[in-house]
Amino acid sequence: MSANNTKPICAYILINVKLGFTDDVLTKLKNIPGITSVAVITGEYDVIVRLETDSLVEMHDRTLDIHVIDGIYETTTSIIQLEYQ
Amino acid sequence: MVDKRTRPFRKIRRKYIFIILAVLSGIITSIWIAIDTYTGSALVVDSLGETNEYAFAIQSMLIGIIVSFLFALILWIPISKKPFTELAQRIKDRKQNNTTQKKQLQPIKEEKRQFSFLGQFLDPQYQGIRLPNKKMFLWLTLSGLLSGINTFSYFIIIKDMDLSIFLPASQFVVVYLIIGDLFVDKTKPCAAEIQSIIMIFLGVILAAINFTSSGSFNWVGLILVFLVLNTSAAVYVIFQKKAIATKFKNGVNLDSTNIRLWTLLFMAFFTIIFSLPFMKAEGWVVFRTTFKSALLPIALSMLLVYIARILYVRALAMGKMSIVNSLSSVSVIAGIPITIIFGFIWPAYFPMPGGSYAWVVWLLRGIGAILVFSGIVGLSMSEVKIMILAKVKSGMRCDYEKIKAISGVERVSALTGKYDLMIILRSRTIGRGYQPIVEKLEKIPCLDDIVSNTIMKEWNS
Repeated sequence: MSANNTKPICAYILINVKLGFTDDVLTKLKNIPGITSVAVITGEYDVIVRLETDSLVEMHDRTLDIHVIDGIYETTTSIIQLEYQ
Repeated sequence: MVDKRTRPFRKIRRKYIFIILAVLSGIITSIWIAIDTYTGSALVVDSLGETNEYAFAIQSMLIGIIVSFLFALILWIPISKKPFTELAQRIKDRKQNNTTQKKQLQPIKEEKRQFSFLGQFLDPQYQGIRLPNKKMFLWLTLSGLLSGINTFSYFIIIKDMDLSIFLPASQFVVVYLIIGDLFVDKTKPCAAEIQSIIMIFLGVILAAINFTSSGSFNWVGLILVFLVLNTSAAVYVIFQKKAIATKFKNGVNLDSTNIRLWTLLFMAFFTIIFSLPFMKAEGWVVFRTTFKSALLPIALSMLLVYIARILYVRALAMGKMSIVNSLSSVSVIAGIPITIIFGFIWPAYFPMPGGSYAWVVWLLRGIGAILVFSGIVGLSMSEVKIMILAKVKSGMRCDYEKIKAISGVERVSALTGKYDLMIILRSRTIGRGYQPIVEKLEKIPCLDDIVSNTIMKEWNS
């Protein structure tokens, strides 16, 4: 995928957070470029973020940024193949 | 590494753009209604000083068409060379599309924003005046018909009704939309809905109280507002939403500027058709003699209508109808200061409540407007968003269109990883989510292992 591609690559990252770390994790997530939406949810996961990047390389870099956040112990990255709205 | 400037982040948060669009649409609405009230009572009058609402309606529609087309043409002014190359490409694409017609829904095309027409500052989707396709044409005609009924009744109502009464009363459309939703979903209203309906209803009644010399209550006007104006507005909104959702073969929707332009054309046609039987010889005299003097205020009013509608349609494309309506209902509050300002400038045409009890009338109107506004805002604020993760059964092909067609489903994304689908659903209350999830989604044969995650808090850039 070229860096000049105008269509962004989008992914949902499903995150599990350690108890008591949610606020800190949210603050750090909101500062990561490319994250267009952060939602605290009920259920299996604690936080879902929507990430939009120009390339898979950038997607990889941004997920690494997420992985190093203190308080996150598990992430599942799901790339969006198609979207209907 | 990718240049950070090319990333698809917006400078202003989408949420704020959405709020600004809807609120601006509401404020502009109260201004153009005030201008119409002035034009109707001061300019389009017969020899006895009586407003001829039918002549006013026809004048407004004719001038409106001209103003709107001119405005759409101004918005079409290219500000770079890109439009000409794009036009050539579009003609080429259309020829190709005719040969390879795909009936499947096209995925969303997200493109880097580049302003190439003047109009794109107002509506980024605007690509010049476009012809709607057959399906769009049907929805736009029906929108125009309902809008025609609405506009015709509007001209009759504003002749006698005060602006600060008309604006809250016209917001009753939200109640009809809720009732419509209840009938479609075959459900009972929840506590938040009942509470909001009562607040809006009481607010309208309070705002409508007026101590005139005869102590009368404008029942005829209110009945017209409740039965004709609001009913037609509710059905009009549904058809507009359908027109917005309809796509061309290449998966692109008709932009809000074109939707307004075509709706206006049909609306003008039907309004004129409804007004003509009431136009007697005297009406045509008023039409001819007042046309020149009324030209400028009508043109200004129609331009504001056009801008307000574009903003409204754009907001409608960005969020849920109930939230757009609630935010644009700020016009109810804005109507009071605007009535006071216009009342100071033209006291003869914007009569203020007089006597020692004038403050009581203003207080009641203020309380009424606040009740209507809070009723609508309260309703939209109770809305919940649910993210549903689902797996697709192996060996089955999933019909995404069927999922997307479920009431409340905002977005369907096909994913890689543990789950195959992410379905984003909006529901007025958490209890309202029962029907789309339990009664609709769970019955779709291809879906397996549905996990509903309610969003407690969300931030968007």
